[in-house]
Amino acid sequence: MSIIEIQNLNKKFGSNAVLNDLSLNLEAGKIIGLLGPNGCGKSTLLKIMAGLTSDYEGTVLLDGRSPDMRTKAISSYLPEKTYLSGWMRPVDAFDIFADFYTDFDRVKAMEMLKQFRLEEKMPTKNMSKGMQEKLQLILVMARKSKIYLLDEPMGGVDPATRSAILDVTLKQYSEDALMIFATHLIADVEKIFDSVIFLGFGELKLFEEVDVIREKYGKSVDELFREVFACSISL
Amino acid sequence: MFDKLVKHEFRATARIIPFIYLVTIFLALVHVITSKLNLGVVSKVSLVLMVMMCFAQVAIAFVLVIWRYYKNLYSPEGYLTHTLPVHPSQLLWSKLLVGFVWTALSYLVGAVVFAGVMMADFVKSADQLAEIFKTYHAFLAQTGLDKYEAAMWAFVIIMMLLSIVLLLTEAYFAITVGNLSKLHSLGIGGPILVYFAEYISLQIVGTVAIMFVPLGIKITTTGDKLLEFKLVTQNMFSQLSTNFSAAGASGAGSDSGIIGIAYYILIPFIMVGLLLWTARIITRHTSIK
Amino acid sequence: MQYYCIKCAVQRYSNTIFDRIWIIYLCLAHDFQKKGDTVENYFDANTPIYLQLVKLFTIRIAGGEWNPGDRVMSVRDLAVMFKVNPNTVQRALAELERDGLVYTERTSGRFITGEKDKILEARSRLADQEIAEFVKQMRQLGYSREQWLALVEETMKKENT
Repeated sequence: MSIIEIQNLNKKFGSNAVLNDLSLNLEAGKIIGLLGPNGCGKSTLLKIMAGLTSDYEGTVLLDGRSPDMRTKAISSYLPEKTYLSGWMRPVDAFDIFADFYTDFDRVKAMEMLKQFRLEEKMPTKNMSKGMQEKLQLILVMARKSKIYLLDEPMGGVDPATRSAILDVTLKQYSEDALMIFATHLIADVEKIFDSVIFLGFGELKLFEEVDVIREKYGKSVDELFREVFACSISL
Repeated sequence: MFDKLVKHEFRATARIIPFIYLVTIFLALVHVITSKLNLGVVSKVSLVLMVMMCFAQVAIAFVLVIWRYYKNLYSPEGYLTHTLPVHPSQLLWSKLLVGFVWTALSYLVGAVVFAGVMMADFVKSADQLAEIFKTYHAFLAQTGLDKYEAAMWAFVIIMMLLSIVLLLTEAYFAITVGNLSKLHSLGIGGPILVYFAEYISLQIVGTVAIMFVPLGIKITTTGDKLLEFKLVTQNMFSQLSTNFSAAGASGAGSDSGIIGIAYYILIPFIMVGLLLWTARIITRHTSIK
Repeated sequence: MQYYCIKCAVQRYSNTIFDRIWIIYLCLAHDFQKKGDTVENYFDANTPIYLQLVKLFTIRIAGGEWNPGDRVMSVRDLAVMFKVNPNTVQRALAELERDGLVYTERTSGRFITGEKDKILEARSRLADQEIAEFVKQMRQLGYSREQWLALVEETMKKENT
């Protein structure tokens, strides 16, 4: 049962086709890597699924519905940007999430706050970028959603934190939920994926199970990615 | 969900806006105390500042409110706001409500503080107060408005409140339309451009409505009363041209004029229309950068 | 309090102080860690992870590091520990069940089999694989049978001194 169905998705920025006739079916109970060079449409795709961009052509269905307030209630979106106001402290953010999302677990959020060694009463503007990202990750992971849309959750954090983020992601895994993990740090992360999507400048280059890739090509996903996209550096 | 939006909207804005009122109140207190203590210069300066604040606080509150609207919806904060599981139009209504409350409050606080200081300075007894009211009623009687006193005040207050909502509507509309994906390249210029276009359009519509729509109040200067008011279905323009030609012909002024009121009847509808349009754009055409 | 040994990846309960001492004794040679600690980069990304997991578990079982009747950690805990996908872990464990090395008791979880012959079978299978691999490598290096047999003897002698 596909929890996300995308058919013939087209999105242009001006004359530039950012997403070109994309079709995908994603099932629950999977962790899917959304991989592609920067600026190739990964973020745009996630934004469309999160309901932040409604100017597109084609069909996008989350649990059978086009992005609307009900899909927002069952999906958790972690953008690359910091979206918290400078004055907000973790407790304030928790208040908002607890009020609007029935699946928000405040107890879990507080535990994760301690785990990441963040102070509950520190305003965001006094936090480093890494701390802000951790806080936003906590907000997403403290919800028991059906769909997790994670846009570069590990950008700009130190390796120890990356490890912690992978842990959190794996602990969050559930058979009823779909996790989409967009990243370009492939080597660090590829072992946690069920399948990966290669998105090359708006087009679907590959959608395959990772162990099938390893068996078929005898390469890691990272290596295959570099070949497909012929980059010299994979950050 | 709407009540939660309102609650959080207040929480976010109550961190700053009430402080404006505190400044005004503080200045008022400084003035009153220093007057009693006869500290002349400080007393005068604080009075001037206070009066300035009474007016300024409306402008400041308004600016803060529309800044909040922009920031919460179209800056990176929009990533949080637009992924909340609420109907997008509720974002507009909640912000309109809270923005209205703050702006209206700033009027109220300004008026109350001003009146309070005036009374503290000039009114030495209850009799004086009664005198003031008598003078006011007498004036009203002269102008023939005393029949309509309640209606007049109601009209004035409603007009003030409506003007606040209208200002907010115009600003919210401009900000929302100015942030459509087509206008993204203009940046902050988008909303400003839209606001100008909006302002000019409304002015044109307003002038046309006042001048040419046959609905107005005829004010006649008569013998015994100063002014007489009558609702008529003539348009302002026709009366003006009659007046001009009459004046041209006989060299004397006319004894009546019409104020077109069609615009004022139209304004609430225009406002609701703009609001619904804004709500529609927020719902259907989101494109957060 | 549940403790596990990273190297063993098998969960042992410690309900009493005796259990705890016994566990510490058993895993003294290993990195005895509290639940929640993880192992990074245990696996190679160039070959299917589930196969690597199967091999790892089989070695542990065949080699006696994991004892018959030991409870296997949950899929989620194993996934977190090795930082691999839970479905991959599930697939590996399913394979082990098919091989008869692991069995599931519906209410209590997964356990290492008590059937000695299955374990011995797996052990010899793995040994065969390793030997075949070794022979292949030696041939690639250009050694003949006599040569590499002699080499092995020599190396073992050196090890013992």
